[in-house]
Amino acid sequence: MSIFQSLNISSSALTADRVRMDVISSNMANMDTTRAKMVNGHWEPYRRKMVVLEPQQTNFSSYMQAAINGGNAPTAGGGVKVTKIVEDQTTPFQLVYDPENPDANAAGYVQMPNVDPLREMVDLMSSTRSYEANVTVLNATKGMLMKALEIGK
Amino acid sequence: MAIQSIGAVESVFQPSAPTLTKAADTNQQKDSSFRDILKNSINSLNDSQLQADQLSQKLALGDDVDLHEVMIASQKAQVALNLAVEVRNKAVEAYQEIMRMQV
Repeated sequence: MSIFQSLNISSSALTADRVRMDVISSNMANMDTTRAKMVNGHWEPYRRKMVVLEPQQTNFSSYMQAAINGGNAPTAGGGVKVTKIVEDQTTPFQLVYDPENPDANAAGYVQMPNVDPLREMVDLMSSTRSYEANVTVLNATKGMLMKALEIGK
Repeated sequence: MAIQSIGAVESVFQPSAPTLTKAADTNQQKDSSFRDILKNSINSLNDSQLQADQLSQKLALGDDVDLHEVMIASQKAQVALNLAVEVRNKAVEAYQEIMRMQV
Protein backbone atom coordinates (compact mmCIF):
# COMPACT_ATOMS: atom_id res chain seq x y z
CA MET A 1 0.00 0.00 0.00
CA SER A 2 1.36 3.35 -1.01
CA ILE A 3 1.93 6.02 1.61
CA PHE A 4 -0.52 8.15 -0.33
CA GLN A 5 -3.33 5.59 -0.18
CA SER A 6 -5.26 7.46 2.49
CA LEU A 7 -4.85 10.69 0.54
CA ASN A 8 -6.30 8.91 -2.49
CA ILE A 9 -9.23 7.62 -0.44
CA SER A 10 -10.00 11.11 0.85
CA SER A 11 -9.66 12.39 -2.69
CA SER A 12 -12.29 9.93 -3.92
CA ALA A 13 -14.63 11.08 -1.15
CA LEU A 14 -14.11 14.72 -2.12
CA THR A 15 -14.87 13.86 -5.74
CA ALA A 16 -18.03 12.02 -4.71
CA ASP A 17 -19.13 15.01 -2.64
CA ARG A 18 -18.52 17.28 -5.59
CA VAL A 19 -20.82 15.11 -7.70
CA ARG A 20 -23.44 15.24 -4.94
CA MET A 21 -23.15 19.03 -4.91
CA ASP A 22 -23.56 19.11 -8.69
CA VAL A 23 -26.71 17.00 -8.48
CA ILE A 24 -28.14 19.17 -5.70
CA SER A 25 -27.36 22.31 -7.72
CA SER A 26 -29.16 20.77 -10.68
CA ASN A 27 -32.19 19.94 -8.51
CA MET A 28 -32.31 23.46 -7.11
CA ALA A 29 -31.89 25.05 -10.52
CA ASN A 30 -34.67 22.91 -12.01
CA MET A 31 -37.09 23.48 -9.14
CA ASP A 32 -39.64 24.99 -11.56
CA THR A 33 -38.72 23.22 -14.81
CA THR A 34 -41.87 21.84 -16.37
CA ARG A 35 -40.40 20.58 -19.62
CA ALA A 36 -37.68 18.05 -18.85
CA LYS A 37 -38.63 15.32 -21.32
CA MET A 38 -41.39 14.40 -23.72
CA VAL A 39 -43.45 11.36 -22.69
CA ASN A 40 -46.27 10.23 -25.04
CA GLY A 41 -46.56 13.68 -26.57
CA HIS A 42 -46.80 15.46 -23.21
CA TRP A 43 -44.05 17.32 -21.40
CA GLU A 44 -43.04 15.77 -18.11
CA PRO A 45 -41.52 17.99 -15.41
CA TYR A 46 -38.01 17.57 -14.05
CA ARG A 47 -37.53 14.67 -11.67
CA ARG A 48 -35.39 15.05 -8.58
CA LYS A 49 -32.02 13.33 -9.06
CA MET A 50 -30.02 11.43 -6.46
CA VAL A 51 -26.54 9.90 -6.43
CA VAL A 52 -25.80 6.28 -5.62
CA LEU A 53 -22.53 5.86 -3.71
CA GLU A 54 -20.60 2.61 -3.51
CA PRO A 55 -17.33 1.67 -1.84
CA GLN A 56 -14.45 1.17 -4.22
CA GLN A 57 -12.51 -2.07 -4.54
CA THR A 58 -15.29 -4.41 -3.63
CA ASN A 59 -15.25 -6.16 -6.98
CA PHE A 60 -13.82 -9.59 -7.59
CA SER A 61 -10.62 -8.43 -9.22
CA SER A 62 -9.54 -6.34 -6.22
CA TYR A 63 -10.06 -9.30 -3.88
CA MET A 64 -8.18 -11.50 -6.34
CA GLN A 65 -5.36 -8.98 -6.41
CA ALA A 66 -5.29 -8.86 -2.61
CA ALA A 67 -5.11 -12.66 -2.47
CA ILE A 68 -2.32 -12.76 -5.04
CA ASN A 69 -0.36 -10.17 -3.09
CA GLY A 70 -0.57 -12.41 -0.05
CA GLY A 71 -2.67 -9.99 1.99
CA ASN A 72 -5.91 -10.80 3.71
CA ALA A 73 -8.97 -10.46 1.52
CA PRO A 74 -10.60 -7.42 3.21
CA THR A 75 -8.17 -4.59 2.47
CA ALA A 76 -8.35 -1.10 3.94
CA GLY A 77 -10.65 -0.18 1.07
CA GLY A 78 -10.21 2.17 -1.80
CA GLY A 79 -12.58 4.97 -0.98
CA VAL A 80 -15.95 5.75 -2.47
CA LYS A 81 -17.32 6.24 -5.93
CA VAL A 82 -20.51 7.46 -7.52
CA THR A 83 -21.83 4.51 -9.49
CA LYS A 84 -24.95 6.11 -10.91
CA ILE A 85 -27.35 8.99 -10.70
CA VAL A 86 -30.99 7.93 -10.34
CA GLU A 87 -34.25 9.85 -10.63
CA ASP A 88 -36.75 9.99 -7.79
CA GLN A 89 -39.70 7.92 -9.07
CA THR A 90 -41.60 7.67 -5.78
CA THR A 91 -42.23 11.29 -4.82
CA PRO A 92 -45.24 12.51 -6.85
CA PHE A 93 -45.20 15.69 -8.93
CA GLN A 94 -46.85 18.69 -7.33
CA LEU A 95 -50.00 19.99 -9.02
CA VAL A 96 -50.23 23.77 -9.14
CA TYR A 97 -53.26 25.66 -10.45
CA ASP A 98 -52.01 27.95 -13.21
CA PRO A 99 -54.40 27.99 -16.22
CA GLU A 100 -52.27 30.47 -18.21
CA ASN A 101 -49.27 28.18 -18.19
CA PRO A 102 -48.69 26.57 -21.61
CA ASP A 103 -48.19 23.20 -19.88
CA ALA A 104 -51.46 23.34 -17.96
CA ASN A 105 -53.87 20.44 -18.45
CA ALA A 106 -57.59 20.75 -19.29
CA ALA A 107 -58.47 21.50 -15.66
CA GLY A 108 -55.81 24.26 -15.48
CA TYR A 109 -53.33 22.39 -13.32
CA VAL A 110 -49.61 22.27 -14.06
CA GLN A 111 -47.38 19.42 -12.94
CA MET A 112 -44.37 20.87 -11.13
CA PRO A 113 -41.12 18.97 -10.37
CA ASN A 114 -40.95 16.76 -7.27
CA VAL A 115 -38.06 18.81 -5.91
CA ASP A 116 -38.46 19.93 -2.30
CA PRO A 117 -36.20 22.97 -1.68
CA LEU A 118 -36.04 22.29 2.07
CA ARG A 119 -34.87 18.76 1.48
CA GLU A 120 -32.32 19.96 -1.05
CA MET A 121 -30.97 22.50 1.45
CA VAL A 122 -30.57 19.78 4.05
CA ASP A 123 -28.78 17.58 1.51
CA LEU A 124 -26.61 20.53 0.58
CA MET A 125 -25.60 21.08 4.20
CA SER A 126 -24.91 17.39 4.67
CA SER A 127 -22.78 17.33 1.55
CA THR A 128 -20.83 20.44 2.59
CA ARG A 129 -20.16 19.04 6.05
CA SER A 130 -19.10 15.73 4.58
CA TYR A 131 -16.68 17.56 2.28
CA GLU A 132 -15.27 19.46 5.25
CA ALA A 133 -14.90 16.25 7.24
CA ASN A 134 -12.94 14.65 4.40
CA VAL A 135 -10.70 17.71 4.11
CA THR A 136 -10.04 17.36 7.85
CA VAL A 137 -9.13 13.69 7.37
CA LEU A 138 -6.84 14.69 4.52
CA ASN A 139 -5.08 17.32 6.61
CA ALA A 140 -4.72 14.88 9.50
CA THR A 141 -3.16 12.34 7.14
CA LYS A 142 -0.75 14.93 5.84
CA GLY A 143 0.06 15.94 9.40
CA MET A 144 0.88 12.32 10.20
CA LEU A 145 3.15 12.03 7.18
CA MET A 146 4.96 15.25 8.08
CA LYS A 147 5.30 14.11 11.69
CA ALA A 148 6.76 10.82 10.48
CA LEU A 149 9.44 12.79 8.66
CA GLU A 150 10.44 14.33 11.99
CA ILE A 151 11.33 10.92 13.45
CA GLY A 152 14.91 10.96 14.60
CA LYS A 153 15.37 14.70 14.63
CA MET B 1 -2.11 -42.94 1.05
CA ALA B 2 -3.05 -39.37 0.22
CA ILE B 3 0.07 -38.03 1.94
CA GLN B 4 2.25 -40.35 -0.05
CA SER B 5 0.79 -39.19 -3.32
CA ILE B 6 1.41 -35.56 -2.38
CA GLY B 7 5.00 -36.43 -1.60
CA ALA B 8 5.35 -37.97 -5.03
CA VAL B 9 4.04 -34.79 -6.64
CA GLU B 10 6.46 -32.73 -4.59
CA SER B 11 9.41 -34.84 -5.75
CA VAL B 12 8.35 -34.23 -9.32
CA PHE B 13 8.40 -30.48 -8.77
CA GLN B 14 11.61 -30.51 -6.73
CA PRO B 15 14.18 -30.19 -9.54
CA SER B 16 12.73 -26.98 -10.92
CA ALA B 17 12.37 -25.34 -7.52
CA PRO B 18 16.05 -24.38 -6.88
CA THR B 19 16.44 -22.70 -10.27
CA LEU B 20 13.28 -20.68 -9.56
CA THR B 21 14.52 -19.41 -6.21
CA LYS B 22 17.90 -18.65 -7.72
CA ALA B 23 16.30 -16.52 -10.42
CA ALA B 24 14.26 -14.70 -7.78
CA ASP B 25 17.42 -14.04 -5.78
CA THR B 26 19.31 -12.47 -8.66
CA ASN B 27 16.26 -10.42 -9.50
CA GLN B 28 16.09 -9.12 -5.97
CA GLN B 29 19.76 -8.26 -5.99
CA LYS B 30 19.37 -6.42 -9.24
CA ASP B 31 16.38 -4.45 -7.97
CA SER B 32 17.78 -3.61 -4.59
CA SER B 33 21.09 -2.09 -5.64
CA PHE B 34 21.44 1.33 -4.03
CA ARG B 35 21.77 3.12 -7.35
CA ASP B 36 18.51 1.67 -8.68
CA ILE B 37 16.59 2.47 -5.52
CA LEU B 38 17.85 6.04 -5.59
CA LYS B 39 17.08 6.37 -9.27
CA ASN B 40 13.56 4.97 -8.87
CA SER B 41 12.72 7.15 -5.91
CA ILE B 42 14.03 10.27 -7.63
CA ASN B 43 12.01 9.37 -10.70
CA SER B 44 8.82 8.93 -8.70
CA LEU B 45 9.54 12.21 -6.89
CA ASN B 46 9.90 13.91 -10.24
CA ASP B 47 6.69 12.26 -11.46
CA SER B 48 4.72 13.59 -8.50
CA GLN B 49 6.10 17.09 -9.10
CA LEU B 50 5.24 16.87 -12.80
CA GLN B 51 1.75 15.63 -12.04
CA ALA B 52 1.14 18.53 -9.65
CA ASP B 53 2.44 20.90 -12.30
CA GLN B 54 0.25 19.42 -15.02
CA LEU B 55 -2.85 19.54 -12.85
CA SER B 56 -2.32 23.16 -11.84
CA GLN B 57 -1.72 24.02 -15.48
CA LYS B 58 -4.94 22.27 -16.46
CA LEU B 59 -6.82 24.17 -13.78
CA ALA B 60 -5.34 27.46 -14.99
CA LEU B 61 -6.35 26.61 -18.57
CA GLY B 62 -9.90 25.91 -17.44
CA ASP B 63 -9.87 22.19 -18.22
CA ASP B 64 -12.21 19.77 -16.49
CA VAL B 65 -10.24 19.10 -13.33
CA ASP B 66 -11.38 19.24 -9.72
CA LEU B 67 -9.85 21.86 -7.47
CA HIS B 68 -9.26 19.39 -4.65
CA GLU B 69 -7.38 17.06 -7.00
CA VAL B 70 -4.95 19.86 -7.79
CA MET B 71 -4.50 20.64 -4.11
CA ILE B 72 -4.01 16.99 -3.18
CA ALA B 73 -1.48 16.47 -5.98
CA SER B 74 0.52 19.46 -4.77
CA GLN B 75 0.34 18.18 -1.18
CA LYS B 76 1.58 14.77 -2.33
CA ALA B 77 4.42 16.43 -4.19
CA GLN B 78 5.28 18.44 -1.09
CA VAL B 79 5.33 15.38 1.17
CA ALA B 80 7.43 13.44 -1.35
CA LEU B 81 9.89 16.30 -1.65
CA ASN B 82 10.16 16.60 2.13
CA LEU B 83 10.82 12.87 2.34
CA ALA B 84 13.55 13.15 -0.29
CA VAL B 85 15.13 16.08 1.55
CA GLU B 86 15.08 14.10 4.81
CA VAL B 87 16.74 11.13 3.13
CA ARG B 88 19.36 13.43 1.61
CA ASN B 89 20.00 15.03 5.02
CA LYS B 90 20.49 11.61 6.57
CA ALA B 91 22.90 10.60 3.81
CA VAL B 92 24.94 13.80 4.18
CA GLU B 93 24.94 13.35 7.95
CA ALA B 94 26.29 9.83 7.59
CA TYR B 95 28.95 11.02 5.15
CA GLN B 96 30.08 13.76 7.50
CA GLU B 97 30.12 11.35 10.40
CA ILE B 98 32.48 9.12 8.46
CA MET B 99 34.67 12.05 7.35
CA ARG B 100 35.09 13.14 10.97
CA MET B 101 36.37 9.69 11.87
CA GLN B 102 39.94 9.73 13.30
CA VAL B 103 42.36 7.66 11.27
